[in-house]
Amino acid sequence: MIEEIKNLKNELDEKFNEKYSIKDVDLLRIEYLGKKGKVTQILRSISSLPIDQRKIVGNEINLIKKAVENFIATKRSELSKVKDQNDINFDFTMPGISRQIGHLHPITQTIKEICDIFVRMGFEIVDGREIETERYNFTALNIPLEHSSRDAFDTFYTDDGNLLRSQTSTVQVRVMEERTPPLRIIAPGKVYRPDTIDANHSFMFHQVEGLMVDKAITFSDLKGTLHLFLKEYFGENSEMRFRPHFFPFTEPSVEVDVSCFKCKGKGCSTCSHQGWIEVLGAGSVDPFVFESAGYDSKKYQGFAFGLGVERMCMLKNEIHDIRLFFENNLRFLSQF
Amino acid sequence: MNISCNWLKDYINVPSNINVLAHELTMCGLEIKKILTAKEYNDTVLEAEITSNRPDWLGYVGVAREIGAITGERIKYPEEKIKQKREKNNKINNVDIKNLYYCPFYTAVLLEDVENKETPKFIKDRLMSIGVRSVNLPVDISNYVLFEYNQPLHTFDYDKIADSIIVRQANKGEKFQAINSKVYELDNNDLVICDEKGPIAIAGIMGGLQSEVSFNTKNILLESAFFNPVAIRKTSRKLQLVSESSYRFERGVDPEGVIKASNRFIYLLSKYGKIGKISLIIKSGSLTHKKRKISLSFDYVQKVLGMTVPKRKIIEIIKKLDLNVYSIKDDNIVVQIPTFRNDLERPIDLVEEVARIYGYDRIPETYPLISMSKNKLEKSLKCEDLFREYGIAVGASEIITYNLVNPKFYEKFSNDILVKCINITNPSNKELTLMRPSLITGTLDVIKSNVNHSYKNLKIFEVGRIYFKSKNNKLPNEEKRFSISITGEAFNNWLDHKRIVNLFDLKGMIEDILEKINISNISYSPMKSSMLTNGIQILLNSKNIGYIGKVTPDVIEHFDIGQDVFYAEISIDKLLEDVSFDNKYKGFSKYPYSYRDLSIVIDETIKANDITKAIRSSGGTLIKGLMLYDHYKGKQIPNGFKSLTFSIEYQADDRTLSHDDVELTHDRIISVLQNKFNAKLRQ
Repeated sequence: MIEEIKNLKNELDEKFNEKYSIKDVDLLRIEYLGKKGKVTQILRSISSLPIDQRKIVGNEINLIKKAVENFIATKRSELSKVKDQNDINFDFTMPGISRQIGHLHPITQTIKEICDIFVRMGFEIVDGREIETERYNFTALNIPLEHSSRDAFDTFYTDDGNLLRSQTSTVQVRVMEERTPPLRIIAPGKVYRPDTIDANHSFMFHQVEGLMVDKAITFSDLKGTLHLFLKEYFGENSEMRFRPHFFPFTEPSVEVDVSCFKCKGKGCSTCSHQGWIEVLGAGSVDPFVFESAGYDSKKYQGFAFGLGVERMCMLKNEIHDIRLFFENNLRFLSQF
Repeated sequence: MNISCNWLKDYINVPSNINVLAHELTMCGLEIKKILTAKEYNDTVLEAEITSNRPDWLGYVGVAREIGAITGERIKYPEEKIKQKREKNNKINNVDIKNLYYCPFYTAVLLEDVENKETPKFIKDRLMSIGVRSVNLPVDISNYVLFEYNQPLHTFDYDKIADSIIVRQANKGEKFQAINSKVYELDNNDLVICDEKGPIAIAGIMGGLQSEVSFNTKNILLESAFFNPVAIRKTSRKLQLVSESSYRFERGVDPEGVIKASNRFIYLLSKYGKIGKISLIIKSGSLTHKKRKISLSFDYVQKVLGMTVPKRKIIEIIKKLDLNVYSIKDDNIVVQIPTFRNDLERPIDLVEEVARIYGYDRIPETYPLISMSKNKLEKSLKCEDLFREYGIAVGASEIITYNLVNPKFYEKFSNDILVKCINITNPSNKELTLMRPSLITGTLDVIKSNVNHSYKNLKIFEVGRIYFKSKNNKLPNEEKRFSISITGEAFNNWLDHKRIVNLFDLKGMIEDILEKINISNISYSPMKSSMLTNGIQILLNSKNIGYIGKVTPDVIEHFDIGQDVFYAEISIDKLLEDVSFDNKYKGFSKYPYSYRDLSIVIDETIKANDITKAIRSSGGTLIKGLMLYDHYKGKQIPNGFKSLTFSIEYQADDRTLSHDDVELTHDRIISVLQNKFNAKLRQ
């Protein structure tokens, strides 16, 4: 046994002088300290030795075990230091591997941004149909058949006797028929008008409709609410201008301009040198609309507004052609 | 409408700074879009956009009245007193109106022995500055008066018409040649002015070529009338014939302007030309326009606007607008509405008048006081958002395509679907007439245009609706769909191996998304489709919610794409009830786990899913993870067989697994696979 230990010692002395990789260190550990390792086996056999030899052999083999353990620990820490050293040829300029996250369509992002602002003010998002009846798109909104007020709303008709909504205002009467005030809703969605396509027109586009109804909602509330929205969307310094207009379903009606966010109202190409940009249409809900929906127009007041999503997005992102939204060129989409 | 400033000055003092005037008009609702310089006429022209509720602004008198309301200046009405005596004539003394609903009031005056002269320069200039061609004196004057009063007139060459005048509905199929030389075919809904032989004018829209007034016309029959706006609009739209006259009649003219305009014409013609004999006015029908009274409570103004407009201000504005104050009390004012403001019907209309003249900019900005309410987010909207969010997370970009599509594709590949589809009866683009029954054509169009722009590696998705007719004459079904499509190379970087995308890339993207919205119980079954090869139906609890497949070469060729495309479409509406946002935490084992690989060779007809099911059921709860990581056919594998390699993760919930535990289970799995599928272990 003493002989064995001696041999082991010599063997180890040689081994300790070899060159090691992390893997070699592991192999060394298994060879000597593993379950069937040489050191382990001697340690196990101690119990079978005569009592007088047990202590001597025990001490020896434990010293050897310690030495191996120390050697392994030292080598490991040495080798790990080597590993931490930079490779001088390492090319840190190689491009990272893209995870290829997709892009939300700019229209979706704009709708979300607009809706988020109103939701923070307590509005609720509702959905609306696209194929609608004459009633919800026109007559209930105070736009009688064969009336010149229809001129602003050229409309697609379907072969089953309905129409494609030409405005999200269809949602107004639908929601009012289902619910009782107070109401604070916004309804984003697609609308359709038989326009010829060019840089500023599309037969399909998106609007966001807003409606607030309660007992004492005033025109001045509309002004306050919309200005809050415009400041959030176009920037804190945005000024707002209310310009009288006509919509059949609101009275008084207004077109809302925002001070040009690009030239700060001085006049530039974005605002056609006006300093102001028309951004939405709005007004106090016409009593006729309340009556159409079965509300008592003496009891309730409210305001409604509608804005064009494409226009809002084009203004903010400096997009000059509405067709880009529906061509879906990835070189366009991937910029958003 | 274009407004000549020189002309406007005849009726009101115009502020010297036109820019200020244009701004103020705009801020009152009469929007001036542009200020143009008309050098050749030494004039400034305002390009105005007139809203459909204010036909009175289509005449200079109406515009002057608005300026008066702003500046307080008094309006100077056009001179219309005729000094020459009217004489009875025995040629024409009656107009026969057959339909008083279409034409409530018609007047005619016979002007005999007219001597025409050159149109005065100022009239010519003013007309031309706003884009109206000068023709001859009577025609120029009738146009001039049209713009002054917003009352269209018509002049007939009396010698070219046969005595009596009848206003009636056209006969079906009746033909008429208008001044523009075009021939129009009319029907019962069209109103015509006739002589004994037939139509001489389409009422309110255009006169006839045959009775047109020329410079040599000796005797003129002057028409001034009030036609039903709806009737005029219908005919004008149907014939696609819009004139200055029809534009005004369909918006409604001032009933009191009918006679005034007639008189004004005669005044001007006798001043700048010469009239031998002027007949009495031949009137037919009547205009029973009761002057409307509206009571406006001062409180109501405050209640609607959210601000107090002083009483005296309200009264002042009403007066400046040329509306008549009938009575004033402590709390209200009764206003009598003149006939030129037919748009004013209710108190709310007067509130708007007060607000816009007082100035919208003087209305304060306030915030509404409104109580809190239960605001929900509709589940389908939330789901749409989630599909978008996870769509981009799996690497696809969102597209938005037209919901109106070309039916050609479906005619060719899925003709039977068309009977259920909705069509547009008045498309603006002759090709896009179908409300889409699927999102596939929009997607393939987008792929085509991107590939054409050499953007060949694409992952795109869309969230949108499809449309089908419903039974029982209800509104059509609008169903929300999610489509996703991939084509080209899977990776485009230096680290991963290049390869073309595969159907299973797409399947994986869909499975990732469905997992995120807690949709489990998904299964698949093969399907036949004319659009897809290797089509798979996606089933949720055996309900068909969508499909995945490779687009067939025929379809690829139809769209001229030139590379493989994989496409999937899922109905958001159909899986809505199974979507859950309810996540209960399940504990996980903290004991060590161990992995074993299992590589088998089986008959190639056996489905991978059957093998994984067998592994799971024979491995029981110890199996915590199971992944198929290799699929191989070819060298070393006999024909008709395939090799599948799984990695199995074993772990117990309550103890450290012993070596024997794992071996025992693993062996059991192997023997099940051997018995059930005749699987051979692959070395």
